Amino acid sequence: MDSFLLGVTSAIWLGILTSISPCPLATNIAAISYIGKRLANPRLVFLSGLLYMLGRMLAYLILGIILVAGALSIPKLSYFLQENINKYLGPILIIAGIFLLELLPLNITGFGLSRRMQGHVEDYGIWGAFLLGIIFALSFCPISAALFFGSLIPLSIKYDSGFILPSLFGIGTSLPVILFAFLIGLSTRLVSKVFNRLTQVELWARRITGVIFVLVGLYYSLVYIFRISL
Amino acid sequence: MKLKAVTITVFVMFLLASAVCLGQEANKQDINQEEKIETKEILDTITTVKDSIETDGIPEQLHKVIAYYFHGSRRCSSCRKIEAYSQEAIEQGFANELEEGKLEWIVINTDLPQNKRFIEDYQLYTKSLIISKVENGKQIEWKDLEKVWELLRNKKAFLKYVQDEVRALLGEN
Repeated sequence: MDSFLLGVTSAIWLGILTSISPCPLATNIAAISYIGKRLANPRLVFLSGLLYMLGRMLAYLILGIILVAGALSIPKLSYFLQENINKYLGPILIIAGIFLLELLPLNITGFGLSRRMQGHVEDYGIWGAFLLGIIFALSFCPISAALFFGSLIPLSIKYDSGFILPSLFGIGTSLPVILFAFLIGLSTRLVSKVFNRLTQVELWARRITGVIFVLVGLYYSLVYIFRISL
Repeated sequence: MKLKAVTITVFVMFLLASAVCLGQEANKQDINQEEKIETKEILDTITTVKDSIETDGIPEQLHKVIAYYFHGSRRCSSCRKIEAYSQEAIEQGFANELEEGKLEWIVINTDLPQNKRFIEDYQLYTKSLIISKVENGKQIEWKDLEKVWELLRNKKAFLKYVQDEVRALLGEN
């Protein structure tokens, strides 16, 4: 049992290490701004943080189950993900950024949604955090691939735990991001409340998030599609 | 309003260019598959030529250790650092062995079609440093020095780790 506890701690620690290493920095900044942007409503910040974590857990969990069961070889899966996911990440983020910046109207039907419906659509927006968690978890870079495929998976195989340890790794990778999102989102909320500018500040938080998404998207497209080394 | 339209147009054009670039790449991969067999034949010839050249300079040893650094076409800063530290560890610690041909330092790009086989051979999942022991021209043992990623922030420990591992493999010669 003690030794399993060690495995549990190592899995969380490896996750935190992955998250604070330099290469996922760009996606982490995008995630922080996305989670923290609904600062007028702390409940929504909390929920999107939680959904982001669940998304990451689910992605690593599925990879963990596949690899511990030996259904696919580690090199094949690692190279497949590194070669393919990063390529599509850029365009996906740019498109998401276009919608966040409201350059294109979301109600394409033209006649506009009722106020109540619009509220619903915005609530669905927090599910974006879940999708973001999955995609960002799967976009491996050399360091995160080394820590996940080289350290976490051997650990999971050793304890025969394709379920718990990869999930804990997912929690570890999202902890620093969620913490920063809360700190930035909630402190901005406090300041803007003092100046009575909550609605305006939230609008700007959304726009800044949109700009960050477009910039990170451009960065990924230039590096992984146009192969320009930055 | 004008600004909005211009921004949208720029983004759409960028996305289209990305799609075209991705499409071309997919095409290229198909062609690569076809050319693979041809490349292999050429490569075999090159290897034969290379072998004969090597025997002129550094003596070709039947018993030796090879240190491989595997990387991709995209080079990240941490990956370059690992390569530089590994090379330094080997050149500093084993100048004599390198000269005698008892130790070889080889850098390989696994993104090139002719080098893909190394991914399966050494179970690679990222940029890696592998040391391999060859006896009578045949590999008998190899090790993935996976701790290089953990020791990246501690150069002294990194050099010592690589040198200790290489020495252990050489020592059994």
